Amino acid sequence: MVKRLFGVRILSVFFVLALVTAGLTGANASTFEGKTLKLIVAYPAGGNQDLEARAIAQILPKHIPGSPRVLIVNMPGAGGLQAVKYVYSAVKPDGLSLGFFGASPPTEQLMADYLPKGRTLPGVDMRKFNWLGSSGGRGYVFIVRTDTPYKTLNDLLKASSPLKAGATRPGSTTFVGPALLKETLQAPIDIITGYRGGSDRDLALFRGETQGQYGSFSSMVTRNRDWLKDKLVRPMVLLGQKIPAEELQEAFGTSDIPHISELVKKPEDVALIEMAMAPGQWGRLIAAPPGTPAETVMVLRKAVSQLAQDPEFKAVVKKRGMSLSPLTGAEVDQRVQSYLKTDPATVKHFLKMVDES
Amino acid sequence: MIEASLNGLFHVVSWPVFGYVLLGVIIGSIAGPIPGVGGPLTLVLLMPFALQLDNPFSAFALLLSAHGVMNTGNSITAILFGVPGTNSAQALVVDGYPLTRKGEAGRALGASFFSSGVGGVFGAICLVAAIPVVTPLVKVFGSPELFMLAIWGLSMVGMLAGRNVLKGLAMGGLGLMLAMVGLDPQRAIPRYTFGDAYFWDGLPLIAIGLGLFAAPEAIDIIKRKNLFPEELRTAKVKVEDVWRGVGDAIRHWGLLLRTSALGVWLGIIPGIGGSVIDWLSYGHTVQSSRDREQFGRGDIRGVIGPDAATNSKEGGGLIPTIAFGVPGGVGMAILLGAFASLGLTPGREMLTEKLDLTFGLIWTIALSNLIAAGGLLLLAHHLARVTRIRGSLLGAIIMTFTILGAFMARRHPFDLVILLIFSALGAVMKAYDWPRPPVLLGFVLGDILERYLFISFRTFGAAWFWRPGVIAIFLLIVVSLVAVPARRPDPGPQSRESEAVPP
Repeated sequence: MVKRLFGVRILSVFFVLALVTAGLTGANASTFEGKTLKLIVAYPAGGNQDLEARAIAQILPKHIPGSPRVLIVNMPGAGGLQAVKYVYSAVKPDGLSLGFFGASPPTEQLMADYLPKGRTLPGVDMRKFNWLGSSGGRGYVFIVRTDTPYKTLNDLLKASSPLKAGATRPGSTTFVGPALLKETLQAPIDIITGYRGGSDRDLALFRGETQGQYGSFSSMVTRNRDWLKDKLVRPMVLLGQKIPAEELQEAFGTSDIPHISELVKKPEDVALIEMAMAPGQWGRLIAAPPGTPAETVMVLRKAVSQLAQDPEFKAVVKKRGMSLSPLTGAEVDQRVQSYLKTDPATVKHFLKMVDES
Repeated sequence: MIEASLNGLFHVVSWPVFGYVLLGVIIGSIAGPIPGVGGPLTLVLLMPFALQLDNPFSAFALLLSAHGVMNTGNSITAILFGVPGTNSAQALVVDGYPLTRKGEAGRALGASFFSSGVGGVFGAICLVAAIPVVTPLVKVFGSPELFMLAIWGLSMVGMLAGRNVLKGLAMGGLGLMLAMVGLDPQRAIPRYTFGDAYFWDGLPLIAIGLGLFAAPEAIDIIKRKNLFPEELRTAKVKVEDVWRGVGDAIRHWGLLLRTSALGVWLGIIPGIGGSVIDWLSYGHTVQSSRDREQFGRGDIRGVIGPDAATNSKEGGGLIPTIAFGVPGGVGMAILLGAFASLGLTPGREMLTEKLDLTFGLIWTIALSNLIAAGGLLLLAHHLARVTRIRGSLLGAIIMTFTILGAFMARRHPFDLVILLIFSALGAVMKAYDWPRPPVLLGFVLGDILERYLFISFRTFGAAWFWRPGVIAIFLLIVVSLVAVPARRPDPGPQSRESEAVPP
């Protein structure tokens, strides 16, 4: 009997060895072949960011060896932080679960040391994520209604009473933009927070409840074409990525709009703007959990950057009115690392600005 | 305009577009009743498929009919099991489910589907009529007016409490308090968050709604072993019951039209979600009725009113969506995404050069609602049979739907803990006659009230009080409260048991 069992034992040893060897094999097609890749999206289903993720999910499989199916899992909890935590620690780092986050998680980490409540995600180190890429930055514009007396930015800066601009939450993009204008240019803007989102603010501007608004140029062109046709709004100043002159011309009838970088020269203000705009310039982040094998990360990074060049993807993006100028994983990593090393004086300046606005 | 209208109709009834309308109706009818599935998720799942269709009419046919019909289907589980299929079906549970308990499920379903159909078609008609008026309308409705609408909703809390107005007010207050949990809208200051980011987005509506309503009913059924006593179980579900329900809806045609109109107007206003419209229309139904005794215990009007409004709101919601690109609701927000992908820009274009496409949308809404209502009416008596299942199994089915629905909303496991807490609360409230609808009403209104109150002060100073829109709504509130006084039933200690507060 012992002899019979011995044979079984040998076989099982070989079996286990075979499994272990297979596990140790690099990320070739077998890693992804026939598998489903889950993209954990930190946004609710149906929103703009979710649609971006779905566009990616549609075409990404082409660029991953083994062409796995990409499945979207929406996890919008805790302002998106639930997804971050989940991908950081609750999934297997085998490359089959990836995260699609907003731009703000690194900000949470940067601010934590300066805020009384500390970290909302203790233990999650953004530097340890394997960044695969991001949706990239965009250009922003601050617009005012044409029925205000301000034809150029200089007019606005000389205004005697503040202009009301709608924003969502303090700390959000819609808030930080005007706050920067107030802080670095002393623009007389009264930021009204509490609006629920893009369309809420759009309506307020349309009704005249607010007179100015800060937002992404591409969203405005997509969503509010009537405003441009009717000349309801006028551009005051640009921030973020440079927008091609032809596009500005087509939208506003002029491309002679100042960019904040031309106007702000004081080093501490320049540093402030760089820090405040940094998340907006990397956009939605795509991440693999810490501990994912280096080879797998390489394969995924390559897939994401190939996706960005893919004409089919570009066509889908254009058709859906989205604007993506993706960054590679390496670029994102470098930016996040340097962001987290921002000079404390600048961070404190930022917090002071948010508080006062 | 007639030409565009006929053009649009022609597109919608021709094959393959019509096929997609039918497909959308089927999908919506199946997804609508299932909590967690009906609503945005179904639309999002349909999107990639729809976007690949060549003909934009086909894509919209599919998406819009699925979306609209979910509002018809969501009443199925609300009435039969006391489980709201989507957030817009919560008020239906209050009177629809007691009707099932009395053995009148067929009647309730009949009234429900018919009202949904009428509401949906009405919404489509209003869409046509609104095209010229939409711009001035949207301009008039600012943050102060939104706030006042929410106040109007609050004024109905007393109505939802039945006899015991004080308890109702207290529970409405509880709902408002629960709405405060999370980051405040103005300064993002965390409130009642126990230091945990989980609470930042506020408490999950669907877990609260399901916990308060569905779970206590499930427990009750299991305790009683059956949904209703033996005699009713053995009685056959007759098709005539369903048509009786339809007859009821027709008899109350005034209510039907009023709540359809209410649904459309509320749907036009961006910022008022489906659940708010649901409760507001229920509250209005109660307020405008002289005889309020039966509300909460199976008054068919409590089914007719909300059902019409929740379907007509879709037509209303489409108005700002196509005219301004401002979504009239969560479903519309998703549809906007589809618009962009199909190369359609909301705005004046849709009302001028692309008017035939707009009419295609309108016809899709009208037709899908009609088909769904008709089809479901034919199936209604079969659906009602489901309630014959023995109690322990029925209770298990309800609990499965409840847990599934609560989890699907955000996929956060702690949502299930919230479900548990509110189920316990709901069971206690039911046992001790504390009214539950005011909690939900307070909860859904809380965010709107706070947000727009602050914005109103910030943008207008105190001057917002004198805005014509504000004054108009204020008068509306006063009128609603005093115009139709309830017939006062005879108070007296011995009659207290029979006048139990509605659940």
